[in-house]
Amino acid sequence: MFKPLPHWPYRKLGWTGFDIGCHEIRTAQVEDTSDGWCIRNAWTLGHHTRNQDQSLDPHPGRERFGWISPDGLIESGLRSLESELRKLGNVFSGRNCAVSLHDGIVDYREIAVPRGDSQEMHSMAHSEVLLESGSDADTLVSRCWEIRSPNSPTSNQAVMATVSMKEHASYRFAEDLSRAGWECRVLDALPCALARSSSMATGNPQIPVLSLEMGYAQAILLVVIDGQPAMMRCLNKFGTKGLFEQVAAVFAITPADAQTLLCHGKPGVRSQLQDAFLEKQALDPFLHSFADGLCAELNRTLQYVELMEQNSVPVKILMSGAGTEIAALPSLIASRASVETEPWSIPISGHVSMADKLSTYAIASGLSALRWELN
Amino acid sequence: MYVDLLSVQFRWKRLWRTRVRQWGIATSLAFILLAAFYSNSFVYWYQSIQEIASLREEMEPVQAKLSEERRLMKNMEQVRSKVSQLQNLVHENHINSLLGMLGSSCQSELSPIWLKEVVMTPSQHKASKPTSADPRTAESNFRLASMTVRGLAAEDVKLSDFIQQLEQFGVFASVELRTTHDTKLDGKSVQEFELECTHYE
Repeated sequence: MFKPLPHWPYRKLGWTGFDIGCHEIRTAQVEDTSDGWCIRNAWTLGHHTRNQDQSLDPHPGRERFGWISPDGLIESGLRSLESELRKLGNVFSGRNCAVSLHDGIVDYREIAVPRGDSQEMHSMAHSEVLLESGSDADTLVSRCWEIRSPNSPTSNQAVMATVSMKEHASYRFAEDLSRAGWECRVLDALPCALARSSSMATGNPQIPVLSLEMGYAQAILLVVIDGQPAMMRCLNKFGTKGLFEQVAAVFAITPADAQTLLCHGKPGVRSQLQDAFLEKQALDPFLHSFADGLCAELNRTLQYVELMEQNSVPVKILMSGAGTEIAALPSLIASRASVETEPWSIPISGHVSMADKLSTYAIASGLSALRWELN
Repeated sequence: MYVDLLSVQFRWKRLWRTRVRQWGIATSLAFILLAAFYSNSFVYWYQSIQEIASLREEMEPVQAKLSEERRLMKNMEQVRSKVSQLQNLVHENHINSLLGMLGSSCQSELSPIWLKEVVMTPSQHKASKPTSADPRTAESNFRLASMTVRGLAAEDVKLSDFIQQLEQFGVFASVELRTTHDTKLDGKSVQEFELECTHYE
């Protein structure tokens, strides 16, 4: 990557990355140092939580524990967080930002198209996306790129990865950030940001890795080869939201309390369960079940990649996202996975709040590094 | 790699915003530069005005002095002109006196001198270059350099007296008898002479 005048102080800081989800907005800014990438600043914004009394709820689209449905988030945008977003300007340097949306707001598809020149393949993939979504070309923004296919060099078919979202949603998020004083430079697709953050963590884009993003709505498995997203799977039933709701239903507590219990073991919540030992015994089956299911999918994906890409089998699994905040989950997954597994991390250079796990800022960090990719 | 899902509408709006911002910055800079230029010019202009006023104050006595000098020079010219006129008058008076003296010498029966010719030679540099068209002034510019007198004298003594009279008249620096020889006039022997009188320079 060409970096003109890399030693100038202002050239060392990336843009501010906004990882916008239905539960939280993770922001991070990375720094390019002589020792590699490190996180300079990071911050988490939560959506305004719903009032206990539903009749007082000014936002009917909101669900429990600060969760907003994807449609609700598209509808309301970030306007309700304008003052908080504006205050973030005091935390980060610069006004340029890159944004990525997850939790199902951006649709991801892999489409097989007849091999032709690049423009033709893009056009065919775009038409296919429009056909599947039933939208007009004016109301949908879609982008696509060719991904690795095991037999693509000789086959008559190519596999195109496509991402698409509603035009008005794209406009709304970017415009709301502009209102809050941010200059939205790129609305990047999640696979690209995740692939970039994986390369940042390994330090070598040539190392093939499997990135596991455990979001609230879904878990994402992304195979990263040569720093590019080569294959992605969206596992909707492995979103942490499902786990919280399951625990909440069994113990008759709120999902917010279930999240606190699983992630932090908050004393107040523990007292409700009356016994720490009982708590551990009671929670273990949920976590084991969740980890078993997820690892089964992980191993299946690895086997598939091993079958198709003999030379580029992932040697490492990098975990990121909200699921890594659940205390025992990363270790459970690591013990069950067939390859080395570790949470995503890069060094810290600034005053990052250590209350949040570093691995939750993987996508935001990948977005922040877009500065050097564009300039 | 990255893909940009930003809507065209937003990118268009962002482009406009950027352009407007750039134009705003450029216009502001131009305005600041112009303001700086004009304020600098105003300061320069004000300083020039102040300097001119100061110089004027300093120049006033000098100009008064120059004016006085000019007036004195003019007066001096006038005085010179008057002196010159007076000198001319004096000179004319000398010539008139000379002519009167010559006339009286010729009319005296006791010492009869007959003048045949009087040639007055003017001074070269004065007579050849009249400075004014005024006849009076032109006349006044006449400067006698020498006078040649030819005539007859009844006796040598009378001729000697005539020469002495001319010398004593005070106009000529020298009176020289150039030629003299005997000749007859109505059967009487007379002296024909030629005198060269040189005027004072």
